[in-house]
Amino acid sequence: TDEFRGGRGVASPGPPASLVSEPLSRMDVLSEKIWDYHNKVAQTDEMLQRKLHLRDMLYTAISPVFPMSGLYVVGSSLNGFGNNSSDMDLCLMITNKDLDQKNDAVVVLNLILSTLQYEKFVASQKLILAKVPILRIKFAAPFDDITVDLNANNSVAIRNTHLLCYYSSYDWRVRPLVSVVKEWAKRKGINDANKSSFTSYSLVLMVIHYLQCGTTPKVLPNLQQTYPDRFSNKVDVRTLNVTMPLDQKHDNLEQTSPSEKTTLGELLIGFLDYYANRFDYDHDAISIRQGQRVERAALAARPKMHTSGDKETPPPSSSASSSSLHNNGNNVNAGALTSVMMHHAMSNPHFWRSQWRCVCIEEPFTNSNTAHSIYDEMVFGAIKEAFREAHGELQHNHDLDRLMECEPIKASITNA
Amino acid sequence: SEADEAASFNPFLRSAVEYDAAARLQMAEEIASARRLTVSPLLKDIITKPENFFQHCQQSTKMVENAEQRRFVSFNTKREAQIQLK
Repeated sequence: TDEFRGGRGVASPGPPASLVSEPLSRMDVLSEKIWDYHNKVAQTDEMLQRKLHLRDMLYTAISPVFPMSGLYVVGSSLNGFGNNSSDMDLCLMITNKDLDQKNDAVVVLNLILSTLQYEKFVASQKLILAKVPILRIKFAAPFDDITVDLNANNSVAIRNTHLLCYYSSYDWRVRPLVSVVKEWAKRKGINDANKSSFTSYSLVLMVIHYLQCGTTPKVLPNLQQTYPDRFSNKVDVRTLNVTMPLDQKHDNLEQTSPSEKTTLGELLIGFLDYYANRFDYDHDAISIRQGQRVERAALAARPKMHTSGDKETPPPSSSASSSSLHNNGNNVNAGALTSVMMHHAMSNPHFWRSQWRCVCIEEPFTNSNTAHSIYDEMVFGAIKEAFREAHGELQHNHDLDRLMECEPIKASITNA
Repeated sequence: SEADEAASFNPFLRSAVEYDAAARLQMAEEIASARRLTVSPLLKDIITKPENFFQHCQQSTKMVENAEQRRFVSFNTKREAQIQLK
């Protein structure tokens, strides 16, 4: 049954019996602590099972009103980066076209709300009107610990869940690294989009970017470039299947480099160093899609997406521009395109400021900035300082517990 | 509701409650007008002529099995890496 090896589809023979009894003390203490911490907080199979059961119950209730619709689990519950907290994001798919989120999605969610009010297992519901409106559902026992956020047809969430799932299991070090980074950020008070800091999604993209570009040798490849047929935004979301292993023909990371030699602890210190000292926030933007640092001016200048919200389906132009950028670094067309659009964006200072002001992290399937909630210079300064402090401390002490005992950043939002 | 779970694996299985296209459209129109919204032509199309978007590739049993496999593999590769490092 072990046909997966980090999602790359390499048969894993399983450890010989003699090795199972090998003492675990080979890894350094910091790495072991990171690994243990991850295993303590990561989503259990039991929790996943309960969430999926709940999804199936919801589907049964919804399908009379939306027959043959699809109810997809998205986000951390299924992307491999979930912890055992019990929020589940769901996406109701009813069309391959863009569903207008201002009107049509609200009608759909209201229809579901009125359907679910007769279900005994549903305790309460709340329609939250945002760029992508969501129906927040709470449940009766035994599911009273799970909260569901349901959106209507926001299909990009299915795509990035699928992509992140493969990144999360590409290398065994990715998930523990994300687990501790998320927890550190939470304790530091910088993992809260409502307080103009990072969303968990942005933090995951930051870790992936670091593993793509900030380590020698590289730990992660660019999956969208390496497997365009699997991760293109043209692929029908109904066919995205995380149980299909990636073939290995393009994968040249492992053969060329013993990247396994870098320990988990070194990777965590390296991550903090990268965002404390090596990443130039004024000039650089993170692009998982391109697998490299890019000039933030170029990203910010690209056309605004045509749909509402930052989790939307990509505009028609985006796959075209993506393929020209991916074509062996030959991005002449993209460059010409960019300069025209840059002019356009420069003349639209509101767009510039609101989306791409402080930290720039490109959503892998759209043109939006996942870190757009960081618009406040004070908070931004405090975040950079938090990285510097954490790096200094961890490099010096190698003490995960001390890193986690940190105080939240003090910056308050200057002007909301 | 426990018994309902199995039913959800088949999108074409008839539910106990079932509405025809006209009934579904009427429900949508009532809800929309009560909230000063409209049923757009696209939405009307989706409601009256639904396409199959069933989460065939995300069936629950497969997802749980897959998560277990991935975790098993990561434990394995971690152990292998550890042995290499010694």
